[in-house]
Amino acid sequence: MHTTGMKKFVTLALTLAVIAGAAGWGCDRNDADSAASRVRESGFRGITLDRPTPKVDFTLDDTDGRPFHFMAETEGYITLLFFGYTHCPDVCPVHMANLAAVLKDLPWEVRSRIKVVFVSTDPARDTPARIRQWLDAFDPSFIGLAGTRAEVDRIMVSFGLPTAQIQGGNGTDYIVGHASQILAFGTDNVARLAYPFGTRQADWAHDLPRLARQGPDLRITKAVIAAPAGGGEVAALYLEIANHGATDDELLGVASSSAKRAELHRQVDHGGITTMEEIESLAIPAGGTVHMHPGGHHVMLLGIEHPLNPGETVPLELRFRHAGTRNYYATVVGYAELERALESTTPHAVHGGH
Amino acid sequence: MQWWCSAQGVPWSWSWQAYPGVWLFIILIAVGYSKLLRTNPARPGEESSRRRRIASFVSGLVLLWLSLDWPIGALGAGYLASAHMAQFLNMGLIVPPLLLYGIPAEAFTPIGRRPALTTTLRFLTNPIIALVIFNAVIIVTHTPHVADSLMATQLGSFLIDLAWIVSALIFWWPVIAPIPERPWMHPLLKVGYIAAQLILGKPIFVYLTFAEYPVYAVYELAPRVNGIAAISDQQTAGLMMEVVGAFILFAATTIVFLHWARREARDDGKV
Repeated sequence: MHTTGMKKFVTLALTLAVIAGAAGWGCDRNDADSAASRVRESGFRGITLDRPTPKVDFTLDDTDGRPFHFMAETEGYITLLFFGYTHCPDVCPVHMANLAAVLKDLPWEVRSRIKVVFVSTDPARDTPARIRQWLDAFDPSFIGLAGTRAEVDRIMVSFGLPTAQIQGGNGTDYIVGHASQILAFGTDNVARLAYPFGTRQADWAHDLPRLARQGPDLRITKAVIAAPAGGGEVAALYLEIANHGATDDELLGVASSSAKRAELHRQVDHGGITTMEEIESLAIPAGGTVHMHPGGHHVMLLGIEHPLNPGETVPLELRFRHAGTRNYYATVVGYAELERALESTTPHAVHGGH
Repeated sequence: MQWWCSAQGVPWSWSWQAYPGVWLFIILIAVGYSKLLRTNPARPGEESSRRRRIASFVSGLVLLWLSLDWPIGALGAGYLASAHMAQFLNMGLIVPPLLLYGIPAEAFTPIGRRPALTTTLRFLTNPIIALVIFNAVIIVTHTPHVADSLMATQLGSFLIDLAWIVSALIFWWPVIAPIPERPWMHPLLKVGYIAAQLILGKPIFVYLTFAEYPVYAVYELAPRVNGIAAISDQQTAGLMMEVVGAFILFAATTIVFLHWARREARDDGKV
């Protein structure tokens, strides 16, 4: 009798365990399977959007009160766009915390290519100061934007997202229903992936470096300035730029604090007469390398204010269509050394950060 | 109304919550124990020993209740891996020996009259088997897929707690040896047995402490409690397992050794 009772108890316990275990395993394995399937299909753990979403050009005030032109200021960056609110009790802080935790451990060359933009869906309570304080708790580099309810609704609709809805509560005690996914825009200004709530840190760590690699991966391997003879105000800058990425890019312009302006030039031959003409941009094809050299493409530095002497370094700001702005230093060499410097495999550029 | 603590996904609140399933569980154990005491009254001259055993059992039961009920139970089930580890350390390493010691030896007499039960118990509490069962339960219940799935439901969460308690009772049985007629191991072997657990617990400690990212979705995606980062919480849990777990097991080996040394001295007529 007692043995029968014991058997019944053990059978019941095992049945309960199997049911609960099977239910749990099944559920979780489905999630894991769908994630694995996503990785197989797209190479990413994020959800592939049915229709790629292009960036929309909007302007909202950032947390310093300055207008932030979304399209222009995220040009060339992997842009992670999230609509949320600082009083959010669950989704927003978890999403931001998980994203920030992964970003801080990414290599600089990946991290520096990613911008996170947070747009408040709760204009009534989210003051710029509050948004800044809230974002700083995750990552001070996160960009916070605020606008009127109508402006934010319009922007959300333009991205194909539902507008935010105030739910329940009285006065300032309410919650805001909002889309929970983070849209990931590539350097081509199109979002093909979204990261819903539930995205794990391991998922971000898997996808972000891959996203960053998708765009142009530019490396300045040489930056040499031929010292102007007699301390002149004009000098030629020669760059060597390699694009290790999968996307073409263009050099749009160069600036330097040592020169009043800089122009992209090419040398052309008109019936035996060689002239220089300004060009608007210089293509840098995916997988290719652009070598500037005397008699070909170069950058003219005009209005040099201080004499440039061999051995000096000059700060440069290079502006690319997709890769955004990159800062480097060029080395000044004498004319006698120019040819050797351009042929040398030793980079004549010092990475100066961004 | 929630019967048992499980992951809810709602922001943590320090407002008290009732978990009647936990109360019922504790009350059932208390009622069973009181029935055991009534059917096995203390023999003359054993009143002092009986009081010690009752104190031990009640302490174990109170600690068990504290582990399962709000706030530790709720925090452990759905918010903090470190609270979950505190539950495990309590339910796995502290509560079972207190409960086992608290049961009067006479209460086990009926087991001896049931051969099937005796055989099962003898098998389960074989030190090697007990170590395997306890560690298998630890590993399985700390596997992310299992923990994330089970802790999302009250039944699943209950099963984890129950598995810990039952497997820990099995683990501690050879050490406490509640049936005096069957001293399962020499005390020095008991010391070695407990020390073995110190080593067997290392993989979970390493897994939790040195993982690059949070391993449990249930804690990673839970609303944060006091801004504690998921990875810091997980590392704290791993360190708790290593430091607090080692301390408890070391304390247990010390008690076993001193108990044995005192008995040896007494037997030699030195005390």
